[in-house]
Amino acid sequence: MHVEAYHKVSTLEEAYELLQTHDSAVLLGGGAWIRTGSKPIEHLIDLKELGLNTITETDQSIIIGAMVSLRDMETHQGIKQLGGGFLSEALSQILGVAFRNTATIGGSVMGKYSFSDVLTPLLVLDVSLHFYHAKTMSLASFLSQRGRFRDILTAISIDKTPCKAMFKKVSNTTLDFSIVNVAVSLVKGRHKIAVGARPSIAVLAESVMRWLDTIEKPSEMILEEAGERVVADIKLGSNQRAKEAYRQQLVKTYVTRGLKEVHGL
Amino acid sequence: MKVVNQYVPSVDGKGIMLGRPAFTDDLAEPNSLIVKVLRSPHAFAKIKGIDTKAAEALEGVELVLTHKNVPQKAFTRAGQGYPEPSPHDKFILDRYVRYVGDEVAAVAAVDEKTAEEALRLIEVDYEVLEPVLDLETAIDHSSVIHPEEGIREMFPIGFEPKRNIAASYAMHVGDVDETLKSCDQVVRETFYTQAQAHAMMEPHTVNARMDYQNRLLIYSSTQTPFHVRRILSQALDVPISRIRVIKPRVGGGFGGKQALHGEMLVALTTLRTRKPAKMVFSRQEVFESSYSRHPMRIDIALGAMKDGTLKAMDCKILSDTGAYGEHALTVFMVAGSKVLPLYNKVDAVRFGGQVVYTNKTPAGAYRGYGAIQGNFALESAIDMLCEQLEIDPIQFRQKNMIAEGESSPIFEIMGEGTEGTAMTMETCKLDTCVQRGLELIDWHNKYPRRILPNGRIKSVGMAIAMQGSGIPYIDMGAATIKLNDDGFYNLMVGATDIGQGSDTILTQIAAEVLMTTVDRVIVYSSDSDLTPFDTGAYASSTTYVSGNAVLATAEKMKLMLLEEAAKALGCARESVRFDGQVFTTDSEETITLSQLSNRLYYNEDQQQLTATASYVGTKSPPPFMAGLIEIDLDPETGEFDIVDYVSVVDCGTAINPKLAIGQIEGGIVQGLGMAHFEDVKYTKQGRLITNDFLTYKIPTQQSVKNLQTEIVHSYEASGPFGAKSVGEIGIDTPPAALANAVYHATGVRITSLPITAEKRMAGITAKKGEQQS
Amino acid sequence: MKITFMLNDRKVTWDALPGESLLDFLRRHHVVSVKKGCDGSTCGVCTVLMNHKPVLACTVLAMRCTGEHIHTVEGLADEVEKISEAFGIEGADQCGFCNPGIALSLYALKRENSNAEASEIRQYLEGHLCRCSGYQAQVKAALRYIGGGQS
Repeated sequence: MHVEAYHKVSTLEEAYELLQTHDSAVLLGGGAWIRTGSKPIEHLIDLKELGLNTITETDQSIIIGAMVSLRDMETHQGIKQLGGGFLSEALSQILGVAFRNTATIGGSVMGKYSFSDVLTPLLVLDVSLHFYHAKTMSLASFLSQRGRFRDILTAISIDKTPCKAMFKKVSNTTLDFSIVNVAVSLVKGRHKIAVGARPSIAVLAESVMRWLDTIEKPSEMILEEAGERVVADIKLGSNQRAKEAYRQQLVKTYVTRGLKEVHGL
Repeated sequence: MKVVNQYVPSVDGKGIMLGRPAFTDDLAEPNSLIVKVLRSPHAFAKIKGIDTKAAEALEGVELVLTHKNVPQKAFTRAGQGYPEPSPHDKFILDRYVRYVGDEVAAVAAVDEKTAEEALRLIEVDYEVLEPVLDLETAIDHSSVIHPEEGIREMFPIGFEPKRNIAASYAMHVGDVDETLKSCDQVVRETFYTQAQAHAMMEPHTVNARMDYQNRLLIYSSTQTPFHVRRILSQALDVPISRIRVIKPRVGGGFGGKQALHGEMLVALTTLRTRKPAKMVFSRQEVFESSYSRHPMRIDIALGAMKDGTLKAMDCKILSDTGAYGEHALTVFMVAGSKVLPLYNKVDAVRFGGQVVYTNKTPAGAYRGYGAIQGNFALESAIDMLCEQLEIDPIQFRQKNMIAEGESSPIFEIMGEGTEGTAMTMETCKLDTCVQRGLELIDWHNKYPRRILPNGRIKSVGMAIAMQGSGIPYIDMGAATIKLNDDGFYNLMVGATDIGQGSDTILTQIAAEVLMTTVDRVIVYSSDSDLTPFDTGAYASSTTYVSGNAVLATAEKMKLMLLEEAAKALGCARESVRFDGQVFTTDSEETITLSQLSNRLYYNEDQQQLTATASYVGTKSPPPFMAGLIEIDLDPETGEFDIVDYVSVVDCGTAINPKLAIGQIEGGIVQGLGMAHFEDVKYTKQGRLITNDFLTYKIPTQQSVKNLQTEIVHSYEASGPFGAKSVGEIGIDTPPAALANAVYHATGVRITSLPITAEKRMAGITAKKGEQQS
Repeated sequence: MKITFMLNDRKVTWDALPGESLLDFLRRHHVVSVKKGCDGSTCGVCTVLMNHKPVLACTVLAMRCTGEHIHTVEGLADEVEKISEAFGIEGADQCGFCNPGIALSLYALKRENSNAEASEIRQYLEGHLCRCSGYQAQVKAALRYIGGGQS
């Protein structure tokens, strides 16, 4: 990788200034995927020294600094409690331990990677993103925004309200990107269903979620219908990992299974 | 036996784990020029013009090589016996580029950044030609991939470059068409196999320097150092005596390093600049621009009688060698010669076909070397035939498969590129392998499938396989043993340890004969100046061929020692006994080996004791195995877990049982990767998409969690201490065993590799559709 | 630009380039136990320990190592010898190109979880691709090492 100037900043303000001054500046989180780009980087801003690498817990939420590694998230006791441990489980399936020791949650969110196994499970939790300048926003609304977001993510916070949740990654090997991934949660009778690596970026199946919320004690048949509705509702496509038809089959199956699991069926 | 067939840790495991410099790039001169290659963006093009002025002018650039300033003499990169059965169809750099990733030009510069910058400054004017990307339309395609003059075959191999045919072959025994007509049941099917990537962990690496005698010294991560020396000498017109090739520790090969990859360009750089130079393939280059397995289309027909007697086998293969014809004929022939003799009792057998050029990454040697492709087709078709005959596939195999004391006419007819060698199976424990395999996997309680309460399906499948042990009358190995003062030995072998453990097992063989321990035998492989000749690590030859050479050398050394001990003790050689440490005469006078050695080097009758012996096989005794798999399949997604893979192998005596099991299990897991997900994808324009470990997946720690591997008792009298080969046999069974298990689970017969979850699901869905309509 | 960090418990000050990976940086300074397998965060071969945790040297920028503790097998020879003994006993050695990285991960695993079972070992080591072995002997060797030499 070719870098012209490497900036190790000591304050958020310094990083923000550089980011605003240089149109081509790149923020360095974990650096896990930064070298996949072939273009030389003129200004690389290293956020390492900003103390954004801690996880704190309040009664309502877990606040995870943007520079916390995926491995530290995965092994955090509080995070292991979320949704019966489904988030830790999801994180444990991302490449290897050494990779997860480097990759950060900030990079995983800001990269908006279509193959992400982080965004899908986070989408079915109540996740807020905290920026240096911009207002706090939900993960779902951040993901739906287009264009470059010229701000610094400082932390994400996850609501701790107990929920049941499930995550499934379908892949050829554990080190592979997902062919598709599915997350389902149930919080106080409210459903969330997310599908990622479609192959495009993870989304919530909003209309199916709202429909399910209206049904009291959904039967197995309803949950099977929900699987089919998700396939109809969100866009799935083909790429070298799988064709659309196979993704549809997988999404239908795992959405239904996930819903059954969170409903204890 | 005290050392052979015993637990002995690898002689080099500790040093390598401790990170001692061992591999090719660890030994490069620190100030080496960096050699980088400009690679073709087109699948097929003619270079109309190439402007290197700007690159040459860049500060730090020492050399730019193009087809205009390199020798234009066709050669083959394949590291094979000479004359090679591969066509000489490659130039160091050529006016044509024949696949995306082919070499256009090379740059040598003071550092990587400068070399890369220089590559960007080279301007190439291409005339883009229509590529041939499908093996089935390659023959007589309007695009001729090798239209150039000066290419040739070394002896008749059916080379017809104007028709895009690299090699062709046909043989038959009996009248296949008539025999098939007379059969009660005939099964015909077409199978496809893919271009598996070797994916060895150490990328292809080479460095060169001029030594203080002004000779060219090359370090190369090669499986065939002596072939590298010969081919470099021929293609570069440098006397062979002026080249020294050292093979340091090699980080895996599997056939992918049985060829020259960077050697030509690095050698040429050093010869021209007189400076050290090096090249380490990027992972993308390893995938795109080295070698892959030959993809094949295999048409097979089998005919049998109602009583389960197999009568005829007909096998027609179209093999895709990609842009260059390395190993084209020989891999193709092995798909028949090391597969069809499994069923040796047929009345008629026919084998033939063509190996075609396409504008894809060249295919080359790869563990299994055709046998895995042929085995997938044959062992799938056998199960299909049994299904039609309503005969148990195990009983069918037991009735028809080759047995000890038997032969097959194929051995005599088909060699590797030439005629073969008749041989009788002195050892063939295939029956025991099958029997034991059935027990280990609990076949009778699991065959063919069980549907679990949660809807998942557990099923089993199996296949049998054979390989060879070197190429008779071609593969040659030699060893030298040198006695040192204090009585320890050096063992010098040309045999090439590429991670399979040959240094360890050859040491064991020497130590066993000399009745000493492995720490008293210091092995060194392979250095074209210092070690005797060996054709290299391929064709499952090292244990059998090089092992026999070590055995003969150690025997020779033992005789020399007895001779010298007798002199020292003043008696006849016949009256001296040796136990590895002490020589004792009939009259109980003694001298220790240490004393004798010190006497030889310091005191009396001073002389160096050195023994050298060679071995060339006169046959190639096949190892055999049964491979059995149990899968647990989800019929709603097509996904499965591999519950168990049982391998029972007849490899003769295992010189080092744990390392032999490592060879088998490594082969099994590599074969499973090919069987179910190692997929090779190209764009419509012929660019390889699966060119890194993100897109091309190989099995991980989590892929196969239970392997049961056993070696049956067997003693091959012609092998060293009863050994046959074990390096390749492990890879052959997984594709067919898996295909058969998937069929048992789902009723879906998948005939093209890899058998992915997506294909399985598509099959299940289609089957459901059939049943409903 | 000069950077100062702790390599195998000794303070070193070496020249680093702005975009240089820790992998290229270490090999350029003749720390050759750290191998280059893919240079793309996917094979595990170049694993080193950063503050006692395994990281991929190809993925960490050298510049980022200022003030950090980096360990390679050269600096943990006693422990690596133990791992190597276990590999020897189980016949887990093949080409060995991936072994320095695996040894470092195993050492880190034992520190994190001194009772790791086979399934935990497989999960912890899964980032280390090995094309030679079929992995089974590695797991046995890992169990032996973690069990203090017992299988």
